[in-house]
Amino acid sequence: MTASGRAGRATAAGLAQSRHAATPLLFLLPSIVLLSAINAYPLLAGLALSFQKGSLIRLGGWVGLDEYARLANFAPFWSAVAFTLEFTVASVVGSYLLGLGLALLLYRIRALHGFLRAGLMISWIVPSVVAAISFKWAVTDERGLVNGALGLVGLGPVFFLSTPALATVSVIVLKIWRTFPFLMVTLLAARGLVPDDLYEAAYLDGANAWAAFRHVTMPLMARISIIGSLMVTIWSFNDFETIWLLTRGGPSDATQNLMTESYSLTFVLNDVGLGAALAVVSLALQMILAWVLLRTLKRYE
Amino acid sequence: MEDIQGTGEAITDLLNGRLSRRQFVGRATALGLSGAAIGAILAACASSSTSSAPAVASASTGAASASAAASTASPAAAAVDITFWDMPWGNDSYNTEAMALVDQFNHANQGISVKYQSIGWDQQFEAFSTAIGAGQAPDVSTGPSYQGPQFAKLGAIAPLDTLIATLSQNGKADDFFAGSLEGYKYKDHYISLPWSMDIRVLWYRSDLLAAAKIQPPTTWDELRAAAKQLSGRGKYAMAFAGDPFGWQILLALMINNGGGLFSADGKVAIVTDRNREAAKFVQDMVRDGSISPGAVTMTSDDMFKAIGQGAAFGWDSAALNNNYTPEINQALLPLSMLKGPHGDQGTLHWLVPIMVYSQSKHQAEAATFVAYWLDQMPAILAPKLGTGLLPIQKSVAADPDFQGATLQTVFSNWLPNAKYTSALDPTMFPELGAVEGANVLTTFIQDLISLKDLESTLQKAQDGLSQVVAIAQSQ
Repeated sequence: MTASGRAGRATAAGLAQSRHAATPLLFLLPSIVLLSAINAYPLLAGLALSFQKGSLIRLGGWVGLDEYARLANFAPFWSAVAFTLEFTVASVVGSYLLGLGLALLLYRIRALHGFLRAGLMISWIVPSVVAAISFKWAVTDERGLVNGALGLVGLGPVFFLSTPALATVSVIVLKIWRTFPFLMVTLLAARGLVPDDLYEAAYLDGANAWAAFRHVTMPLMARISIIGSLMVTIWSFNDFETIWLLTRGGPSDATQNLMTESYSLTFVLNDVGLGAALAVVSLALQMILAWVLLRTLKRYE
Repeated sequence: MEDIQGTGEAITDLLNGRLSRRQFVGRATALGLSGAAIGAILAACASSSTSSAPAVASASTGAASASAAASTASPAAAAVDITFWDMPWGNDSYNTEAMALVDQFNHANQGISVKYQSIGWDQQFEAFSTAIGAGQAPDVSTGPSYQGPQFAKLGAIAPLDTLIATLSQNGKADDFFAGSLEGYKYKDHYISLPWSMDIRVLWYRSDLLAAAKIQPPTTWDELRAAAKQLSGRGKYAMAFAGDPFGWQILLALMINNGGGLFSADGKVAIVTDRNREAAKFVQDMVRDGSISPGAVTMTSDDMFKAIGQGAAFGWDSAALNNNYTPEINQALLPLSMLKGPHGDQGTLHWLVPIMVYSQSKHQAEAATFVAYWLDQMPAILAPKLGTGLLPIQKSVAADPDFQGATLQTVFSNWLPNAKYTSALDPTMFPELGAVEGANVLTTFIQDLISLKDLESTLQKAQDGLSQVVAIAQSQ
C-alpha cells in the first residue's frame, strides 16, 4: 500500500470518526435550542435587568452593580435570606425524617400496604392551591378545624398565623406535609433495593436493629437520600406558592422568603432592578447549595 | 371649548374640500388632537363626503353618543378592535351585566368591536404593568383609584381632555359632584374619568345593640365601650382584617382624628400625635378583646363573614356585602360618622376611574366607549350587582336605588368629610398607586393588631412608606 493510499484511508477513517462523534450532538441539537430558548433567554434577560434601574413600564439606563449595592443595604433582603435558609433547612430535615420513618414502617407493614401508601400520598397529589387553602381553613381562626379540636379538650384558641413564630412554624409544617410523600416513596423504593442477606449477616455478627440501620440501611440508601434531599432543597428554596397562599409573607413580613420578596419588589413595588438583582443572588445561592450536595453525593459513588 | 369648535370647523373645511388632508393634519395637530384621532377622522372622511360628518365629530370629540357613532360608522373603521379590561367590581352578576353592556355597545356600533376582559384584583398591577411594558396595554380599562396618575407619570395614559371638553359642552360635566372631574387632572390634562366612588363606612348590627340596650355610639370612647360590652366568651364585637382592607380602616380612623399618611404638602407623616391616637385606639380594642388577635391574617372576606356571624361592628363600603341573610341585612345600619377625641370627623374614599392608554391605536374609539360606559351607570351601580360603589353623577344619585335611608346617611353624613389616601394633602399624586400597592401599610396594621410596640411600629411604617414613595418618585 502506498503512502498516499494509507493517508487517504486514514482521512476517511478520521471523517467517519468525527461524523460518528457529531451524530449525538446533532440529535441533541433540537433539545439544546429549545432549552436555550426556555432557560437561557429568561436567565440572560433577568441578568440584564439586574444591571438596569427603572420600572416594568419604563426601564431606566444601565447602572452597573448599583442594584446589587442597594440590595446589600436593603434590610428586608437579609431577613428574607434568613427566613429562606430557616424554611429550607427545616422543610428538608422534617420531610426527610418523616419520609424515611414512614418508608421504613411501610416496608415492614404488609397489611393494607397499598391503601396506606396511597393515603399518605394525598397531600403530595392534590394541587398546591387546594392544599394551602385547606390548611389555612384548618388553622386560621377560632372556628377552624384545629381550634375546634383544641376546644374539645379545653385548649385554645390558638391563632396559628397571627404571630411571626407561629406563622413560621405553620408554613414549615405545610411544606413538610406537602413534601414528605415524595421522599417516602423514593426511600421506600431505595429500601427495597437493599438485599436482606446483608441484614442477616449483620445480625449474625451481633448487630442490633440500630446498628443494622446505621451500618447497612443508611449507607446503602445514602445516594438516593442525597438526590431526594437535593431536590427538596431546591423546591423549598424556590417555594413561592406555599408562603404566598398561606401568609403572603406576613404577619409583619416574618415569612417573606427570597421568592416572595423578589416578586413583591418587581411586581408590587415596580422596582425591577432590585427585584432582578435579588433573583440573581437567589440563583447563585441555590447553585452553591446544589454544588455542596453534589460534592457530597460524589463521596458515595 | 375653542379647540372643539376649531376641530369642528377644520373637519367641515376638510369635507368641503377647502382644506387638503395635509393642511388638516397640521391644523388638527395644532389643536391638540392625537395622531390616532386624526387618522380616524381622515379614514372616516375618505369613505364618504356626505354621511360621515357626525362620525367624524364622534371621533374628533371622542364622546358623541354611541348610537350616533353606530349610525355613521364608515367601512374604513369597520375593523377597529378595542380591548377593555375591567375589574370585578361587584358580585358574580356584575361580570354578566358588564359583558351584556359591552355586547349592547358592539351591536349599536358596527364600526367598533369591544372585547371585554375581567382582571382579578390579586394580579391587577402585575397584569397592567407587564402588558404596558410589553407594548400590549389594553385600549381602555377601569382600575384602582390611583392607577391613572401612576401610569400617566410613566407616559402610559392618553389624556381625555377632548372627551371632558365635550362633556362640558353638552352639560354632562355639570352632572358630576363638585370637584370630582378635577380630581384626575394631572399636569393640566384629564388622565382618567371618574365613574363612581368608593368609601369606608362603619356599620353596626342594630339587632345586637338593641338586645344589649346599647345606643349607637357617636364617639370613639362610646364605640370602645360598646364593643367591649358586646365582646367575650369567644365573641369579638369589632370585625377587623389584616389585609389591605385593614389598613384602609386604620387610615379611615386616622382621618377621622384629623390625621393621615401625608402632611398637607405631600410628605410622609405617619409619626404624628393624631395618628398615634388612632393606632393606639386599634391596639386598645385588641387589648379589650373587642378585636380578635386572629385578625392579623384575616381577609376582608373573613371580616364580612364575622359580621354575619355576630360581630356587632364592621367596616364596609357604602353598600354591604350581599352574602348576609335578609334579616342581618335589615339589621345592619351605617353609624352616624364618629367624632374623634378632638371632635374631628372624616373617612377614607376614592374616585373610581376609567382610562384610555397611550399605546392604543384607536384612542378616539376608546373614548367613545368611555362615554358610553359613563351613560350605563344606573345599570352598573344597581345594588343587585353588589359593587358597593356610590354614584358620582347627581342624576344617577337621584335614582330611587340610591334614595333609601341607609345610602342617604352615607351621602349626607360620611361623604362630605371623606378624603383621599393622600390626606391631609388634597391632591392625588402619582406615588399613591405605589403606596396602596406596597406591603408596608398591610404590615403596619398587622404590627398593630399583634400589639407590637406602638412607637417603633409607627416609625417602621414611616420609614417603609418613605422608601416606597422615594422609589416611586425615582421611576
